Amino acid sequence: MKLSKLSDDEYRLFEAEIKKILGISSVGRLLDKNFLLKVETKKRKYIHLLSDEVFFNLNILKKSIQKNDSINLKIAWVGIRLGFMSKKKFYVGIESIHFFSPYCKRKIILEKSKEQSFLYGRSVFINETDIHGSIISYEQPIMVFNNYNDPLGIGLVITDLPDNKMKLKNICDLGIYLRSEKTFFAQ
Amino acid sequence: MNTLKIDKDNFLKRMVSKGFELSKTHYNGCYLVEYEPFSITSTTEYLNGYCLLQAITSVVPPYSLLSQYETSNFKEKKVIDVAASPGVKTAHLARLMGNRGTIVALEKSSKRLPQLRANLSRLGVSNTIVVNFDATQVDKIPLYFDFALIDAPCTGTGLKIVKNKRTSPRRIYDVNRMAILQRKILESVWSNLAMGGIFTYSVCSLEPEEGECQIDDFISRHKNEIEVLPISIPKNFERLELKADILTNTEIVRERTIRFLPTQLSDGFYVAKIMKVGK
Repeated sequence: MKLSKLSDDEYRLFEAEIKKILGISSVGRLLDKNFLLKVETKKRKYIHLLSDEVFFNLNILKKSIQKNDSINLKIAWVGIRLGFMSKKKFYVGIESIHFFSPYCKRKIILEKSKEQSFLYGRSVFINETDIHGSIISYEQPIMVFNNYNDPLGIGLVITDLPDNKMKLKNICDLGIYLRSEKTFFAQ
Repeated sequence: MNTLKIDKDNFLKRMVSKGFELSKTHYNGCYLVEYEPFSITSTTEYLNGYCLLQAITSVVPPYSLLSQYETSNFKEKKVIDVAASPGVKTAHLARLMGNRGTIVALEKSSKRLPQLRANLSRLGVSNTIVVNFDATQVDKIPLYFDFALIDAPCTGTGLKIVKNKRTSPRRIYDVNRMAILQRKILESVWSNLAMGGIFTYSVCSLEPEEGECQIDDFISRHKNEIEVLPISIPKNFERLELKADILTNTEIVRERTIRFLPTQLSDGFYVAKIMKVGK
């Protein structure tokens, strides 16, 4: 696992994507005094968020690994995982939806029966009244909530269906913690 | 319940509306599930990380280590959690710390890391560095810790009766092997514990070699450097205590450390809380 800071380009990609998904104009308040860290594994480049204190202690650990080769120490996880970069695009991860949820200005709120289906990893039919906030483009992923305003996952609205129906395609949902906890979180 | 994500009243209201019956325990924010109409792990609340499930005895080590401090006291404090997977105690520590300070969670087995990662992210723990590292080599890390939670690897004989988890029998060889490993871990963590630092040592084993005798031995090695601190336990737990009078020489081990016997409510467990003081 390789840890490094985000390049300017990567930060711009991250910022643009977050703004689109959450429907906010600035990510400054969201990141506050925290640091963004790029964590590269064999599979993907992940972005993690950590406090200044955790960042400081992480650096001490990193330096000790560099100085002393005999320490077989591997950093496996740090702070909150916000998502991952792939093909010059940032994808929000399921691990961060609770962190992002208070800032979210465009969302879909599902009723109870649809909530259960969505948590089983299924796509569900929705009405326009389920969509809250202004939607600029349906091609953007959108965060999904239940009636209690708990985040459930991320979906994509599909509109080109017969009879003007709308479908919420499941991209990721919290049910992953039950369905594939061991495989999904393996690196 | 996880106060990092939801407040107590809101959580209770929601669980009661779903038909769950919860009763209060001695420990703030911890409830006994008296009745569940369906598995609590399939609720949106569980998936959202508003609660975590653990045996009532497993609450004792993190609670007794940190509960007497306000969350604001944990700024710039460092806590180490040894053998952290599946991360339930780590998450409990983070809750008590209000996600402040830093927790270094050690796990030697890479196979157990996915579960640890999943639990920490589900429960919204953000102050933790998870390290794939052998706990017997903590003294090689250039960090000094203010608190340490040593939930040491053990034979798990306390779990056997309650959960029937163990498929292979344990022999005296296993007890000896674990006792040696626990001794190494204790010494290693001790050397990186800051002056005035506190650690709790716990095992889910019924064997005195891993519990009372281990701590007795540790005290004899560090006679003038330690203070064994008392642990607060609920009144209705008194009946589960066993003082191992015959097994230990030190009176303080008999008086201040706690042994729980396995019952239908809880696992067999041993807990000791020790502070590092000057020579």
